[in-house]
Amino acid sequence: MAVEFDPNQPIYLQIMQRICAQILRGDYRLGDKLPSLVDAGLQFNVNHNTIARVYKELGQQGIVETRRGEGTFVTTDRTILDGLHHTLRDNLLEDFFTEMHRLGYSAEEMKAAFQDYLQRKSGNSSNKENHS
Amino acid sequence: MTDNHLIINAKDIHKRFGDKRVLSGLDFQLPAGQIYAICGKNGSGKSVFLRILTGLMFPTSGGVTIFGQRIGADVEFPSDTGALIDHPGFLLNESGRRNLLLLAKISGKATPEKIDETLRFVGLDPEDRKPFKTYSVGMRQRLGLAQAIMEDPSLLILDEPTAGLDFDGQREIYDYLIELRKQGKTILITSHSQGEIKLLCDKAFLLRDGKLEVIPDIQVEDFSVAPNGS
Repeated sequence: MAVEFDPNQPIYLQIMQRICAQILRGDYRLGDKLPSLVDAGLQFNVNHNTIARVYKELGQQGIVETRRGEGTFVTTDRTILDGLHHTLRDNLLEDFFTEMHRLGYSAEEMKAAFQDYLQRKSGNSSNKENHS
Repeated sequence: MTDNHLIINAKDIHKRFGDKRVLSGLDFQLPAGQIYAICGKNGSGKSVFLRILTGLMFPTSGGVTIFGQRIGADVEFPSDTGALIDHPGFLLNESGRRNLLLLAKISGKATPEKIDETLRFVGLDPEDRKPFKTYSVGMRQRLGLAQAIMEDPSLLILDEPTAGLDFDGQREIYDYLIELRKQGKTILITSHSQGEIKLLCDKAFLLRDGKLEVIPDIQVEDFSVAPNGS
């Protein structure tokens, strides 16, 4: 499987983000075992040291837990994952706000544009539902 | 870094067969505790170099020191070193366990308990009484690896440890090698597979024109950006 990485950001950070997203999406549930260093290395086409670093960083944040001889597991503490959810949401909002601000939108205009977008989006999805 | 920190120190190695030069002024220094690969085309001299390192062949000139001992001078074969080069001479009609027990009798270092533990580590059953001749390629490779690690050496020299294995077999060998690295061992392999080197190795060398050169992109990418960004 070909894995594309953004050339402007360290690879281990990008893999961390992808694994976090997989956890939040529910691909891995609380307490699930994550792939071994070899399997994850093959999946992302990177060195096992890079995966070890990813697991170490995620471990420091409490998102995963490495048990010697057993492997690396998703935390069983739901509050940590809730916190992660909020952090990722805030990061996305921050990116949205910064980019809109750069384009000269005021806070009011952003709010209006966002609401308008949501309305169109929900309109689209209900149309789709009607078709199916 | 001083020479004392080097596990392998090979200096100005030349090897000629008749008028064919295989190694010409090769230098190679290896510090402890990581996984290293030597790659190169068929016939580039990889196996010749590994044979010289392990005392199975003498260089035409130049010398190798492993753990501070000159190979062929201070010692015949490197001490505290396990090697998998070609196919170890296993007896066809004996089981894997019995083969290892016989080899251990020669060196006298590995106990039967240690042999059983090693067999289990590489995924072989110590209770299995089947003779070696019935072993699949994967089982033979695992037994070869077991033979190399059963005395718990600090240095492992493995010539194409995943050759002839299917994907799952290769993956298992990678798991074992990474586990051995975690235990603090230094591992030197030869390999033809770029993917294998990228996944496994901390540093890789290319043997070309009788000399070894470092392959720059293989180094650990913890802090680097994607290769297509450079």
